This record gives sequence, C-alpha cells and structure tokens, in this order.
Amino acid sequence: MLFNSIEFVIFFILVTSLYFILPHKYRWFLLLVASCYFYMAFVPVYILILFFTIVIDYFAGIWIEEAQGKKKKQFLVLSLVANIGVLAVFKYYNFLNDNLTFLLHGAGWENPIPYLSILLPIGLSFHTFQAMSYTIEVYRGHQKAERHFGIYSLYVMFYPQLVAGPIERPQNLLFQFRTEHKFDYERVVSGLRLMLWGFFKKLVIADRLAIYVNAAYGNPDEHTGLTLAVATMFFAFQIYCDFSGYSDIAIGAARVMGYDLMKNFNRPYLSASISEFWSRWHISLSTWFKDYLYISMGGNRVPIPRWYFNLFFTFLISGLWHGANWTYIIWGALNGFYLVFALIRARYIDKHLDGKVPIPAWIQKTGNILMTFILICFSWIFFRAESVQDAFLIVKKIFTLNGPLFTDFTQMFYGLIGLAILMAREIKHEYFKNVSPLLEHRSPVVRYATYMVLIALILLIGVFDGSQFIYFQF
Amino acid sequence: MLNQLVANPGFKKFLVRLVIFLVVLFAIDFVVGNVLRKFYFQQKSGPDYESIYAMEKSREDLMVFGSSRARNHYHPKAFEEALGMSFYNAGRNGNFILYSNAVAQAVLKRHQPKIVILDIVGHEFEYYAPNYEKLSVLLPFYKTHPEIRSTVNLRGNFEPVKLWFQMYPFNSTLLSIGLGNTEFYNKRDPIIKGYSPINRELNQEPVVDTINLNYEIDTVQVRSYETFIQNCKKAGVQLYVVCSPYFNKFPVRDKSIVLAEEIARKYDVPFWDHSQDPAFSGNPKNFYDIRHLNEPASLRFSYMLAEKIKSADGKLATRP
Repeated sequence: MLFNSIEFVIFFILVTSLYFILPHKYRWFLLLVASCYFYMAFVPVYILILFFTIVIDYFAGIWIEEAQGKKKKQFLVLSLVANIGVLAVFKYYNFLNDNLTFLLHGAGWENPIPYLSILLPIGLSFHTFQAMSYTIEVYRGHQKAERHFGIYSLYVMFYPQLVAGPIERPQNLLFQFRTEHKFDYERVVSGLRLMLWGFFKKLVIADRLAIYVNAAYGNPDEHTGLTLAVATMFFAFQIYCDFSGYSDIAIGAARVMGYDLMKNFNRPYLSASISEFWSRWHISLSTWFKDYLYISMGGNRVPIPRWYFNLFFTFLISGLWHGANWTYIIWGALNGFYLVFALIRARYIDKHLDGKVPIPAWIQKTGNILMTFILICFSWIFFRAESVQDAFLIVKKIFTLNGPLFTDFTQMFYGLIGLAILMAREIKHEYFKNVSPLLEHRSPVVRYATYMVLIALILLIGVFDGSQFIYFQF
Repeated sequence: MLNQLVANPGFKKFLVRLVIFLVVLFAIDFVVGNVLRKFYFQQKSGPDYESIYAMEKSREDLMVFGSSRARNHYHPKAFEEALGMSFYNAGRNGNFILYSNAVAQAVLKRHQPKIVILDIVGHEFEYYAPNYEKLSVLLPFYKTHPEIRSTVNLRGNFEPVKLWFQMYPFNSTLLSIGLGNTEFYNKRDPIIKGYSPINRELNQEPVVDTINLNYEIDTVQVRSYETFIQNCKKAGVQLYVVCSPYFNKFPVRDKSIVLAEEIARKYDVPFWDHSQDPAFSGNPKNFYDIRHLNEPASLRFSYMLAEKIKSADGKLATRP
C-alpha cells in the first residue's frame, strides 16, 4: 500500500482510531495485523520472507543472550547469514550471475547457473537491516532479547517504517511498544502536520520533477547536455523530496500514535561539505553503516591508509545496499572517494591555507554549499542512470553543454513553485531559527492558512498518478 | 477505553478543531473550485478550450475523433470542399480510444453529426497505464456530464472520493486556464477547427518498426472501441474507422489494427487501413515526424479520404 493513495488515508484513519479505542494490551496485536495487511497489499506471498527472518532473529536474539563465549558469536553469525542470505538470493543473485556470465563469456565459456525469476520484495534491505541491528545490539549487550514474539515481530514490521525506514535501533523502538500511549493532542497535531508536509514534498515536488527527469534520463541520446544537467539537478530534489517525504509521513504517522521514530533527513542540501551531507542525508542508514560496519572495521582508530580504506569501503557497500547494479556501486565509490579526498585535502592542503586566504566567511560557506551540491548532483547521475553506459553518456553531454534546453514549461512551472516553497522552509529552519515557521506558527490564523495553502497546492498541482516511492525498490 | 478516550480533554479539543478545520477546508475548496470552474469553461484558446467546444458546443456535420494523429491528419478544408459539410476535428494529443469514446458520448447526447471518422493508431489497444492517467483531462466535465463518469472512473477506484474536492478536477490546469483565457495558444499555434497544422519535412529514411509487437491487449480499451461503434450506430451516424499513414514500415500488421478491423466488420462499419499507404508512407517529404503527416501531406490525405467517403459511402473495409 502506497502512502500517496486514498487506500492509505482510509487505512491510517481506521487503524489510528482503533488504536486509541483499544486497551493498551491489545494494541500490539492491532498494529501487527495492520502491518501485515499493509505489507501484503504489495505482494502477499513475500510476507513469508519476512516471517522467515523474524523467526530466525527472534530465536537468535534469545540464544545470543543465553549463550556464553564462542556460542554467542555463532548465533549472531547464524542471524547475519540468514538475513544477508535472504538479501543475497532476492537482491543480488541475478546481478552476481550476470557478472559471472559476462566473465565466462569473455573466456569463451557458457554460464551453467540458471537465473531466478523473482521480484525483489518491497523494502527488503530496510527490514533486514533493522532485524540485523537487533541481533547485533543483543550481542553487544545494549539490548535485552525480546521474549514476546508478537512484539518482536512488530519491531520488524511496524507499518509506518516497514518498507522504507527510518531503519530503527531496538533500543529506540522496542520499549515503545510496551509503553501505553494516551491520546495526546499536541503529538497528534504535530504528527498530522508532518504528514501533510511529507505529502506536499512527494506529490507536489518529487512526482512533478520526476516527469521532467524521466523524460530526459529515459532517453539521454535525444537530449542535450543542458537538459540533462537541469534534469540531474531536478533529480537531486526529486529523490530528496520523495524519500524525505516518505520519512515525514512515516514519522508523522507513528507520532500520531505516540511513537518516536528517528529523524532521517536534516536539510542535506545546505551542507557545506560531503561529510556534513552524509550526516544529514538518510541518517538512519548512515549511522547504521557507521555503527555496524565502519566502526567494526576500526573506524578512524587505525593507521591512516586503513582509515581511508574503511571509509571508502563503507560507502562502496552502501552503494551496493541501494541496488544490485554497477551504477549504485559507482555512486557509492564516488561518495567514498569524495570523503577520502576531503580528508587528504584537509590534512595536506587546507591546514597550510587556513586563515591565509582573505575570503569572507559567508562567501566561503556559500561556495562550499554550492560545491557540495554540485558534487552530490554529479554522483546522482550514476544513481539515476539506467546503465553505466547511459551515465557516462550523460556525463559527457553535460560537460559539453551543447544544444538548447528542453522546456516542458508546465512541469517546470509547477515544479519550481514547489521547489521555491521547499527552499524557503529549509532556509528558514537552517538560518532563521528565531522566526516562527508558518506550519507551526503561534497564530492559529497563520497556521491554518498555511495548512489550507498546502492542501490547495496538493490538490491543484500535485501529481496523482500513484507513483511509487523511489526507495521502495531498495 | 472508548469512554476514557472521549473523556480525554485533548481528544475533545482535537475533534472540535478537526470539525472547524474541515468546514474551513471545504468552504475554501468550494470557492476556489468554482472560481476555477468558471475560468476553465470560459477559455478562448488551447487544448482544454477545444475539448470544451467538442463536448458542449460542436454542431458540425462531420467530426473526427482520435489522438494527435487525428488532430494533425484531417484537414477541414478538404472535407468542407469535397463533401460540402461543416467540419470539426476533436482529436486530442496523447489521448486515445478511452477519451474519444467519452467525448463522442457527450457529443451524441445532444447532436448527431452526419459522419464521424475515428482515427485509430497502431498499438491502440495496448495496455498502457498512462492512457488511464491522461483521462484527467475529462475531470472538469465529471460534474456536468454523467455520460463520461464511467470512463473517468477507470482512472481508479477512488476517483469519486477525490472528486468530493471541487479543486481536484482542475489539478494541473492552473497554467492552461490562465493562458487559455488569453489568445496565447491561438497566437502560438493557430488551430483550424480543431485541426493542428504542423510543417516540417523529415530528414531520415524509413526503417522496419519492430517496437514490441507482442504487447498485451487491454480489453477495457477494446470494449470502449466497441461502445464507440455501437453508440454511433444507435445514433444513426455514418462511421468510418481509419488508420492514417505511418512513415515506417510494419513487419507484420499491428494486432490492434487487425482487431479494430474485425470489430468494425462485425458492425458493418467501413474500415480503411492507410497505415502503409504507398502514396504517403516511407516518403520523408510527407512527414513531420515518424508518426505525423505534415500539413501539405495531411491536406492531400484528407482530400483523398473525402473523395473515398463520397464514392464509397457505406462500403465495407478495404485497404488501398
């Protein structure tokens, strides 16, 4: 079930109403049944995959807690292998087989391994990562094993964040299912407000810009460098509004029922460096990789070359997490390279220049924000392109910038209205913190007027073609 | 538990404010929606104006229905001269049989043209989700034209729910309403009785078009085509189904065209397949792009068709 559908609106109203009517002891069951229904609205049979990982991780958690010494680690490995195994089969098998076929073909051999004819289960990477964080935290002793099978299942399946995060940690979420949440006016209104803003970002900005982006990226041969450059910039905002819009709806829906989910985005395009960008973009995934991969490899407490390798490798894996395609791997590698390069620059160049170049701080900061945005946009080319060949063609065309701009005036006009509102809100929140934001304004007249304008814009310039959220495919 | 909830002062406050919110929302929606409706229906130019004219004002003897190919291929001058009939071209870019059927239903409810030409395209009945999304151009007519509601409802199960909002029918039309209330569109692209002349000659050689020959046939669109024919028959309108020329060669006859011909035969409706007409196809001088004739070629095609209608009135399907 898509958040941007009438079905979801009805589902949300029904589930939330029932939630507050039911006594606390039955609520976990209601949420679990609702989450199953929510997930099964996509491809019903894939709930069996979820069930498989839930059962393994539930028992693994208990065994890890009860075991001593080496056994503890063995149970953790069992859980990790099961989760990564599911990912490997459903997400990476055909990709690996493709590459094997390519290699064998180069040597003049046939690949005897058959392909699997399967669809990627929606949000597989999200719920397997959330499940893994549970067993890892139990292993590390930061979380007690959950004995209640229903509540553990709900931890993995909680519908607001089931298919595209935020990827929660057990310490933050599990205990909340045991806490009684009474109807709280402020929380309910704040949650609904966040959902409204999420719907605006998805329907008015992301899906509108997608029309231009899809036209250009779907046929890069026929578009000019200038068009592809504009499409790439639009894609940067499309993916941001699509994914952060989803996160806002998820966090808002959970907040209405009294649950706190972690913040997933923090105005990433106002970052003044790549490392700052990654501390503001898809925060739940960045911190997952930091906590469970980067730090496990030694983080920065290792010799410098190894530190650089750890950073690069983490981003390479992050690219692979996004999708079984070389485009995502290159995207991850590119971001890893940016970060390593920034460290090298800071170590060998910046410290010699520090304070010696007389540029006012605000110009320097603006320049850094623009440069970060351009570098991120460049990496998005690989993320969005349909193949590596297409990506390089797009890069080549952008660098020559020949030909006129393809002007789909209607789409650009509506898209830019949405973008202007987004940027005004982001800049206000970043730089004018003492000015009361319109959506949360003290004056009810201003607040209500803002709600009305947002709803009117959704109705008048939103895109209602029921398009999926980009991150569902991961 | 329900008692506890009702007794919660926060819940009471929420309910009161929710009611106020909804009342204000629907009041604003009503006002803005109706202002937009007024400006939508008083447009002077543009694609929406042409749909309004076709559905609510057309009184011509001969009407053409179809997509952009209909809009670019059927020249009023030829039909008016050869047949001595008034003419209107109700083709609309990017819209196919579902749209044509809905518009024809609205027209036939208040007026019976003497002749209707339905231009069908290759892949006409291919299942393609955007064909349903594009029916949004009919949303402004939902309230006043009950005959098109079943077609609009094909967009999704919840379309009637979305239409509780008066603003929703005018989704994505703000700009076109603004420009349509001026002479902008007329100045940019002069439209002659719904016909849109396009002038350019193609600069390439024809190829064999092998794009997805084994596509899935959408039975909803086939039924819509059949309804179009039945409605014309019922209204006593002489219908001709035509597939106008394509630039490229088809390796085999397109299965939508084959199916359209079979159905036309079933109802004794003349079906003329000019998709590979050697007088036009394959010659870059006749085409604006691979799917559209340029103005001089469309004029010749229209004269040829008008003569054919005059001489072969009522004859069954033939190919050139």
